[in-house]
Amino acid sequence: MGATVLCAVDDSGAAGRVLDTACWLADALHERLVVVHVVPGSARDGDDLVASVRARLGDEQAEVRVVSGSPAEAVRDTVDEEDAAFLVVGSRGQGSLGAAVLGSVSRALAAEARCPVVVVPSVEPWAVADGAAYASVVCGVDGSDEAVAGAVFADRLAKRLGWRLVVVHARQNVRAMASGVVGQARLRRCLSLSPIARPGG
Amino acid sequence: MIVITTRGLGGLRAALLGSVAAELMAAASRPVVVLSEAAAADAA
Repeated sequence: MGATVLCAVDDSGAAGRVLDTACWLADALHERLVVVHVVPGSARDGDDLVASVRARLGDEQAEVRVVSGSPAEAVRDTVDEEDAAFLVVGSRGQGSLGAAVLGSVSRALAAEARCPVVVVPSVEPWAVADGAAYASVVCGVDGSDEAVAGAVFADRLAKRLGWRLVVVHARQNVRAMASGVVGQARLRRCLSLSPIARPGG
Repeated sequence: MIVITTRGLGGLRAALLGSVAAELMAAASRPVVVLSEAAAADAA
């Protein structure tokens, strides 16, 4: 058993899908699963949720932590305590207004967590059972150092899952593609990839 | 599964999460793996 996949759940209807995704990821990567639930008051307030999480996982010994405090801060602290390799959260997206009403906790964690944050869709019918069928990791890149680091991470993740890696570099106009080619050459060096196909090329 | 990085934007990072990352998080039909500036640095 390697590092930790930390799953943050609330008591919303989307929590089951978030938990299933975290469980699937931990199994696929042979890592340990820890579930955290943040309550505003006493940790005992989470007893019912702990029971439902363990029932869904089918494991009465599953590690479920109930902590009190500000949700984003408490989850971030748990990420640090566990030295988590991944954090799994729900998106709470709301269709066309999703970008505006994206959950504030998910937004804060995605922007600042020290580990990759897996945001599980809440509005589309993503199901863990579909995971093997998709079998691709799609990585969006621009010319930044962060994007190159993200592509290296995506390459490693795809290899661990046995999935295909697809690197996408989107440009709003064709003239800008020339600078994109320079970025592709750098990516190929980092990932040891064969040449990336250009549209119409 | 989608992997995307988001660049740090000073003290307003949480409020100003990159627009592409935020849109993907809200609208994607697959899990989106978001790497913050700190996570991307660790991953490199």
